[in-house]
Amino acid sequence: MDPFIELDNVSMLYGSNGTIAAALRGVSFSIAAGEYVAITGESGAGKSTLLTLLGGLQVPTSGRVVMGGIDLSGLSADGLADFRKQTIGFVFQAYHLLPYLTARENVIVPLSPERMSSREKADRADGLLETVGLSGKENRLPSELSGGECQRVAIARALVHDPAVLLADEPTGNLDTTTGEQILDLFSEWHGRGKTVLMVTHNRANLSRATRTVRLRDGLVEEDRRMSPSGRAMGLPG
Amino acid sequence: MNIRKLAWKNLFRRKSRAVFTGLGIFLGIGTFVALSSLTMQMEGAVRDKLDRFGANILVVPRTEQLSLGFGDIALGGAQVARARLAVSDGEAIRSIELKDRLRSVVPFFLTATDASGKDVVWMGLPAEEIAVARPWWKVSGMLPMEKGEVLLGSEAAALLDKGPGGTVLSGGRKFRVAGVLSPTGEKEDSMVIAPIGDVQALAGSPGGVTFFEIAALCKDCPVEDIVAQIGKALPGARVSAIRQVVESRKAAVDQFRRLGMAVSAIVLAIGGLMVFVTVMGSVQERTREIGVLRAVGFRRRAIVSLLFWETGWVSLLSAVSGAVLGTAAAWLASPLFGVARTEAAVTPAVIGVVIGMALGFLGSVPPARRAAALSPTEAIRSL
Repeated sequence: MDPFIELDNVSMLYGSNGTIAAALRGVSFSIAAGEYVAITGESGAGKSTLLTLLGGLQVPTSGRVVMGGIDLSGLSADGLADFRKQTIGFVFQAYHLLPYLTARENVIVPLSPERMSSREKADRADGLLETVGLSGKENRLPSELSGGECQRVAIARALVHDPAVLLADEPTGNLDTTTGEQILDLFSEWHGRGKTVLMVTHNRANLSRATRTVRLRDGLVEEDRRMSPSGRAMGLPG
Repeated sequence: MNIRKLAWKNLFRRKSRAVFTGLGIFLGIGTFVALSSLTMQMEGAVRDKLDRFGANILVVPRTEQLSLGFGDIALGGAQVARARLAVSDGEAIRSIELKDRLRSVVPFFLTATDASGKDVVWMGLPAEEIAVARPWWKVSGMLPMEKGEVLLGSEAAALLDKGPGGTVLSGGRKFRVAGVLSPTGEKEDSMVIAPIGDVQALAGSPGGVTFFEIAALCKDCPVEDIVAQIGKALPGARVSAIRQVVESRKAAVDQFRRLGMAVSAIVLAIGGLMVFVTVMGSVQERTREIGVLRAVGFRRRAIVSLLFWETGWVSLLSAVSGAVLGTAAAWLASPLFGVARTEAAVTPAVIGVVIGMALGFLGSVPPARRAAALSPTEAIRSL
């Protein structure tokens, strides 16, 4: 299968007060369209940095991140914004919903700069909220929703542009087990529709949903395994 | 839901911050509009008072200087009027294009003749115009109201030893002293002032005029234009603006304006600073939110637009309310400044709203630039 995402010798250095730290050190791997990849590793392994690079939130110090044939390093800040809008849906651990907006309005936020009728935006949001099981709660504020419901709203927001890739950062980290499972069901459902899902997680239970796990350690890929449908490792990809 | 509505909703989330942001503009524009309105009204009042205070254009006959001499002996010179002025010339003056600017056109006639056996200068002017032409005169008794009445300058009264109710004889006629002028320090102190018809009759020059004093309303002071038009209407006359009067009027009015502008500028600068500080604080406080918006695909321009809309809403609301407050304050306070209440001035309010919007815009440019420059990664630390 042709790779949809390619990381080619990607390094990311951070510097402050004269010291330089390498978050990623020459990472290379590729991801095909439609894969469900869990990125794991200890704190400081470089997971979050990898996610920000894959999401086009920043560009690597060296190496290339190519997604859908686009080299992200060659894009301007606004070019990256357009790329994120068209290709990426973000789901954050802490949801990051805007507290003064209703569930429907939060889902619409990414469409705010778009020239679409309010009706069309609302219809799209309501459809997604129904998909994530929040029908009837469109006008609730985040403060009136449970953690799981907030995360569902965040997922609906991530999907409102119908992105090819869903990037999630510990999406069940703030949820209880049952609610976390429901959220993972949504990711699985979306993966079943052909979307690429990349999820940073510490939770071993989450790994069982993924078709592949990439384990990072000290800025390097320590392990890269495809999983069988039963969740058992199948060895390194070729 | 669009950026405009997103901005509007955010205002209600942070009401106290929005109020504080708007407070600077509200107070700044309120002060500006109040001072501008008051200054405008005071300008009008001062101009009106100054216009009433005296003439600013003088019309005299054009004269030629003749030198007198015989051989090498110089006998001095004499001024000879090329043409005389007449009361009817007043009509020509009142028919100029800028006639609406002429508040008063007063003919004066001067002659030196006998008064109860003493030589004095008689000054004639229309009795009904005396109060208009010399509003600052203080009179013991009454002003001459009709033919046969005179007003004596203080020195003339002493010379003739006459007071109100007395009688002055001249040219075989008897004049009743209606009043005596308090000392002015001017030449009038030694004159006998009478209705112009009486003085013309004494001099045997019916309809004659020595000069015209003209009080032109000085708004925008097109006094040069008025002078030119009168000169054209009366080619035989020399028309000149009394520059000192014109300039002093301008200076008095300009002082009011400058004071108002200075105070307004200070308050507006403080208002702009308040906008800058609060919006910058808001950007700082909303770093994560801005990061989320950037992550979901907002371009930098969309972030800038969001902040401008937010400040725009605040600026509009506070500038309009400030303009209303300022207008009302000026209207209420005008009697305290010796200005009669007139219709509320709209122009300062409109200018105030425009300035308020501009202030909000300028105050939010640096924070908006900073917000747009935020890296989404830096903004979302939790990633």
